Amino acid sequence: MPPRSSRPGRSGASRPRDVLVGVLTLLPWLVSGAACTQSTSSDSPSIAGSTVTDSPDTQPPLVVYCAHDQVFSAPILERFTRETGIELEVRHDTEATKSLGLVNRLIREQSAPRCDVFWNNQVLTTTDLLADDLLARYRGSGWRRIPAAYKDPAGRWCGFAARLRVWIVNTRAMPATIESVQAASNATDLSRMAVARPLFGTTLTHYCLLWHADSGSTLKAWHERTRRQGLIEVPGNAMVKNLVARGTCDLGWTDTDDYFVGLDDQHPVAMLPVRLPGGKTICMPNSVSIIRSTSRLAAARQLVDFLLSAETELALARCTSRQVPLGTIDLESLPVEVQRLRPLVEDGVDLSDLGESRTACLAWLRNEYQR
Amino acid sequence: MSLEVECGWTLLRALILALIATPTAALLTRSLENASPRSRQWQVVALAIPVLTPGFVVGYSYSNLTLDLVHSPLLNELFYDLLLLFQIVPVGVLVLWMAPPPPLGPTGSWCLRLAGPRRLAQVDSYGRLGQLVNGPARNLVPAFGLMALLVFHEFEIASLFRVIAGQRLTPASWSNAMFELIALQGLGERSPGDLWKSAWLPMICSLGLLTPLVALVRTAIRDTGTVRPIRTPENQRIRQVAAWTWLAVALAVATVIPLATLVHDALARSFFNKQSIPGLARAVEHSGRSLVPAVIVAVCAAVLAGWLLQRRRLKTLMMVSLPGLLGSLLLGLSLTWLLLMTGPVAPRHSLIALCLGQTLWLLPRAALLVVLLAVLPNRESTHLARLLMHAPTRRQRTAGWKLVWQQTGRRAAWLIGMLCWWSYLELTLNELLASPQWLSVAHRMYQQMHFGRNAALSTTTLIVMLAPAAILALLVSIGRLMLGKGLGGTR
Repeated sequence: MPPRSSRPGRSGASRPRDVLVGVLTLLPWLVSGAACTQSTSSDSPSIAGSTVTDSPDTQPPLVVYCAHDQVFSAPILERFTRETGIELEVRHDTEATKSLGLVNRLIREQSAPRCDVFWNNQVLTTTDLLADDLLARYRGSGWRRIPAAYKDPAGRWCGFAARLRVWIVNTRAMPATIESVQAASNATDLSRMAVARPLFGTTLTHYCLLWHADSGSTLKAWHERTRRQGLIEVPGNAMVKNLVARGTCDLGWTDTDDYFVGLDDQHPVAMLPVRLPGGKTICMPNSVSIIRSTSRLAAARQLVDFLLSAETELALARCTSRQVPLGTIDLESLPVEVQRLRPLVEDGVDLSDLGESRTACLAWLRNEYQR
Repeated sequence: MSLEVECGWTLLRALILALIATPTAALLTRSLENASPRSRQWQVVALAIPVLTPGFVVGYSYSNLTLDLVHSPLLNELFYDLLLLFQIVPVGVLVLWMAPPPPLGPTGSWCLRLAGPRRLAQVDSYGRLGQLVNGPARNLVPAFGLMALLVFHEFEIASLFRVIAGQRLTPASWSNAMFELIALQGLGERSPGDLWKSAWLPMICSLGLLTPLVALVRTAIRDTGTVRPIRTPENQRIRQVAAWTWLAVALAVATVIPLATLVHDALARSFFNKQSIPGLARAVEHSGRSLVPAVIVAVCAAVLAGWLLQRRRLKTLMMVSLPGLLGSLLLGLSLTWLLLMTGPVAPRHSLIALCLGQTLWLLPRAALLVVLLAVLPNRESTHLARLLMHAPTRRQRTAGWKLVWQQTGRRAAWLIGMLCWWSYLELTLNELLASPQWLSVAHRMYQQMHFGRNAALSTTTLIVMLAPAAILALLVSIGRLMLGKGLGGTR
C-alpha cells in the first residue's frame, strides 16, 4: 500500500468525484433555471391597455402580495399577464404565521419596500396601512365602477368581489329559519354551536363590528356567557363549516365561500345572513391598493383596473367560492346563488370607520385569551 | 390559558410521551439489530416513512376526526399524543441505533458486580449512577431528551386540533400560545428583546431537554465503546412480532390513512383531469425550485456542525445552536427584525436571509446527526479504505471509493438528505424570510389546506414527496453507473 502522501494516480481517482461534483454543481442551476420561468409567463405579449409606458421586457416583475385563495387568484393574475405582457411575482398569504401575514409584512418592509400592488381578501386590515401612509391614491376606471360604500374616496383602496358573513345550519338538526337560529343561539347549552377563534380574519371583523355598536359592552357579556355555556371555538371558518356539515354541531358562523364548499360537497347545510343589531349584513369585499413607493406605477394601475373590472368580478362570481360583484354588472350573467346574494351585499354595513373599535377590541381579546 | 401555563402542559406532555417512547424505541432498536439484512431494510423504511410525512398533512387529514371529538377533549388530547408518539419513536431508534456503544458494556457491568459494593465504591466514576450513565442509560437518556424536545416544539398538528369547548382548551401548545400572543400585540411593535422576554421559559425547557444530548456529545467523543453487546436470543420472536406490529400500526395511522384520505378526496372530486395539468406542472416546478435552498441549507448546516465538532469547539456550537432551539417562529421573528427591518439592505429579499435562518434552525439537528454519524467504531477500516482510494490501479481505487462510500458516504448522504427534507418542508422561516420567488412548496400546501382545497393538496403532497425521491434515484443511478464503469476498467 503506497503512503497516503504520495497520492499515486490521483488524477484517475478523482474522475468519478469530479463528475459527481459537476452534477451536484449543475443541479441548482438546472432547477433555478426553472425558477426563472416560474412567474406568470406571457404567451401573448400584446399590450391590452393603453396606459403602459414602460417596456415589459426591460422591467422587473410587478410584485403582488395576494391574500386571496391561490386557487382562484392565480388564473386571474395569469390572465392579466397574458393580456398585458406584464410579468408578475406573486406572494400568496398563508395563515401559517397568523397575523404576521401580508399586512404586517408591508408595515415591516416600509423602509425597503418590495410590493407594488396589494390584493387583500378583506378591507379592515388594508385600512391599517393608511396609518403608515403606505398607499398611493388612484381613481381609475375600476374605482369609478365600484359603489361609494366600498371604496376610499381618496382612492387609496377599493373593494371588489365580496363574501358575506352567514349562519351555517345543519338542516337535519334544525330548520334554517331566523326563529330557530335565534332560539338555538340563545339556548342555555351552546355545545352544538361553533365559531372560529376571533383573533384573526373575518371572525375578528365580526367581533369588531359587534364591539363598534356599543363600545363592547354587549359583546363582552355575550362572549362570557357563551363560553360558560359551552360554545365551541375552532381554528378557522372552514372547520366551523365541517363541524356543522358533519352534524357534530347544529349551527355556527362562517363565510359564504366556506358555506358553498359544504353545499357543493352535498352536505345538509343551509345559510342565513348574519345581521347586526341595526339590521345590516356583514359584507367583506376583497380590496386592492397600490403601494406608494412603487417604481412601476403605470403597470400597477393597469393591474388595479384589471382587478376592479367587471370581467374579474364575474370570474370570481363564477368560481366555486361565488364572490358577489359590487360594481355594475349584467345580473343575468351571474350564477343563481350569487344573484340571490346581491341584495344582501347592498345591505352591508360600512367597514371603513372601524379603526378605533378594532384597536379596543384587540386589546380586550388579548386579555381574554392570554390569561 | 397564559403562555406559562401552556408551556407547563406542553412540557408535561413531552416528558410523558418521551417516557413511553424510550422503551418502545429500545425494543425496536433491538429488533433492528437482530433482524436479517433484508428484514432490517424493510424495518428502516417502515420507521422512516412516518417521521418524514409532513406533520401538517397528517394533522389536516385527521382534523375532521378530531372535530368529532370536539365534545371529548381528553380523547382529542390522547389521539394527538398517539400521532406524536408515532412520529418521535423513529427518531429515538435512530439515536439508539447509530450512537456508538456505551463504554461500559454488559461484561464490564458483570465484572463490576462481581467486584462487590465495597470495591465498587472505590471507583468513583463507576458507582451505581456511573454504571447507569456509562452503561445502558448512556444512549437512552439522550434519546429520551431528543424525543421530548421534538414533542415540546411540535405545533403543526396542535394548531389544527386546537379547540376550545366551553372553557377547556386542548391540546395545549406553547408555540400556538406564542403565535396568538404575537398576533394580538402586532409584530411591528415588538423588538427581539420583547420576544426573548416571552421566550425565556420555553428556552429553559428546551435547554433542559437538550442537556443529555450535550452529555452524549462529550462522552461519545471521549469514551467510545468498541463492541456492541451481543444480545441473548431469548424472546427474539416475540420482540420481532411486537416490533412489526408497532411498525405496521405506525405506518398505517401516521402515513397511509392520512395520504389515502387525501387521495380519496382528490379522486372523489375528479381532480386528475385535463384541466388540472397546468396545476400539476406548477406543483412539479415549485417542488424542484424549493429543493435549491433546501440543499444549500442542509449542506451549510452539516458542514458548519461538522467543522465545529471536529475542532472541538463545543461552546461555540452550543452558542450558535441556541437560536435554533427556540423554534422557527422566534428565530424567524428575530431575524426578520434584524435583517429585514433594521439591518443593511443587502440581505433583504434575497436568498441570504432565508439560508441564514434555516441554517441556524437546522444546526442543532445537524450537530446531533454529525455526532451520531461521525463517531464510528470502524475508524481503522475507514482509514484503510481511504488509502485504497489512492492505489495505483483504477480497479483498486474504485474499490476504495466503494468502501468509503459504504462506511461513511452513505451515512453522510442520509445526514444531508434528512436535513434537506426538514428544510424543504419548513414553513415558518420560509414564510417570514423568503422573497416571493423562493417561497417553498410547503407554502403552497398550507394555502391549499387553509382554503380546504383537498384535491389540489393531495396532488401537491404526492408531488412534494416524489420530487426528492426522483432526484435521489437519479443521483443513485449516476453514482452506480460511474462506479460500474470504474470497476469495468483495468488501469
